Amino acid sequence: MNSLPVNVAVEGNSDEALARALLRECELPTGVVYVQKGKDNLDKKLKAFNQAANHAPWLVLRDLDRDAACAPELWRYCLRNGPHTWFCESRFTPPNPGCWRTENA
Amino acid sequence: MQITHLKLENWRNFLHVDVPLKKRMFLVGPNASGKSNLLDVFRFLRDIADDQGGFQSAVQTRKGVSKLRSLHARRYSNIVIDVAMEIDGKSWTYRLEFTQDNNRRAIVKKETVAANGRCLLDRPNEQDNQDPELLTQTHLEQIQANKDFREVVDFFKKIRYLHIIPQLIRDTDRSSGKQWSPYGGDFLEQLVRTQEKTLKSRLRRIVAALKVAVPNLKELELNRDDRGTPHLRGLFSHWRPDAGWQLEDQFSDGTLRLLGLLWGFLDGAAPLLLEEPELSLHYAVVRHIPGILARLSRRTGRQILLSSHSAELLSDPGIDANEVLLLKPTREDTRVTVAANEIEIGRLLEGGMSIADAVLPWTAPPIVQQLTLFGDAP
Repeated sequence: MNSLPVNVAVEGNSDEALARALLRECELPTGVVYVQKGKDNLDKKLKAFNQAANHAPWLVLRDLDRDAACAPELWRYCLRNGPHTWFCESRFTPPNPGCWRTENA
Repeated sequence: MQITHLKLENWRNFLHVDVPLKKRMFLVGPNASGKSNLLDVFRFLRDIADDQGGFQSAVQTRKGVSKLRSLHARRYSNIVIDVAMEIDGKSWTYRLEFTQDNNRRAIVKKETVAANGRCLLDRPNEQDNQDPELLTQTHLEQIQANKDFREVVDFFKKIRYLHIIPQLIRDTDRSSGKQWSPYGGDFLEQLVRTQEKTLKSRLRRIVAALKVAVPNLKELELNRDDRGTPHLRGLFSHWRPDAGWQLEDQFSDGTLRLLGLLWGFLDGAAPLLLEEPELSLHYAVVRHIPGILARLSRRTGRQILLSSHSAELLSDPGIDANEVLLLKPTREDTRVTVAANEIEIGRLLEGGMSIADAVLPWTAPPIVQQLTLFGDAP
């Protein structure tokens, strides 16, 4: 693993394990993990994580729930008041990563 | 009066440190990353300059050069401490390099002092070459030799370290005979040594501040028992008059720690070193510690260096990223950087995060969740 460590932002402790597993699967080292206390807290800090992603790779895991129809729409919604440049890319994820992990355990 | 820059080589956890220091510095890092060891540099200088101390004593109380030297020190293995200071408008630098001889005695390899860029001391000098035994002492501890830089010696002597352990304040027998105990062992004796007028004025200010955290506290007074042992009495509100007097052994840990902290803030003007001042205190009180320190620093010019793990303490919006030293353990040593110099932290702060939110995740152990498995059967 000679790649740059990927910093992680997640909603809670259980998501941290999922993020680590994902990065391990991709053979990427895990950097600093920012565990937020729930979706609302994570959303408030997305602008900051997006800003930091200008400099280093980041992985942000967030439940889709019923907040949007799909991941790009959710991403646009979460960063609606932010800058015009998005340094993060959105990827399609299952509506609830926790369920996905349990199913794949 | 403040330390403006610190350079270290081979000191305990640190192979190399080179950081500027502000009036107020927060040391943040994981457990065992070396926060106390970093603060210990200043205590070491204080111990050398202290009338009862000296270079050999300062090294011996730390179990010798081999315990002070970084385990990862390379071929050039001298321990180097280099500090820059501002004292009464004058810029000073003090540099000490040392190692040990074949008898494991600490030996000065180099000692320099400069004021406003002018060199006042450069050892080893001719006298040292003629009598190498002189290198077992620094000039900080020799009154005849340090006339030209007495300000530096006095500055080091005044550095205070405070890590109040409430049990030691309560256990007066264990701490008898101690002076300037960093753990509060002689805290009550320190109070007794203070001039009565100053003591009363400080206690009044402390009670006023303590009332915020301990609303029932009405009054504090110091007196001695029949054996001459000093005691602190506090009057707490009670429906029966005079029923609420309690001695220090009945005070809560939080009350004693806050009391000790407030006293430490008021006592002296030289740098104050604090270890985790948040311990035993309610989070609502902890949140205001940076504010107290900022006001104190503005009013008295006092420099305060403190270590902390507290999100509450670091969530103060007044804390600048230039005031935070980040300690990051690596395989070989611990790296120390100013948080503002970490680009990612800078970006997170620009994005609106607080220092606590941006910095503390850097200090969390990577597999901390594993701790919860401790309770499982083997």
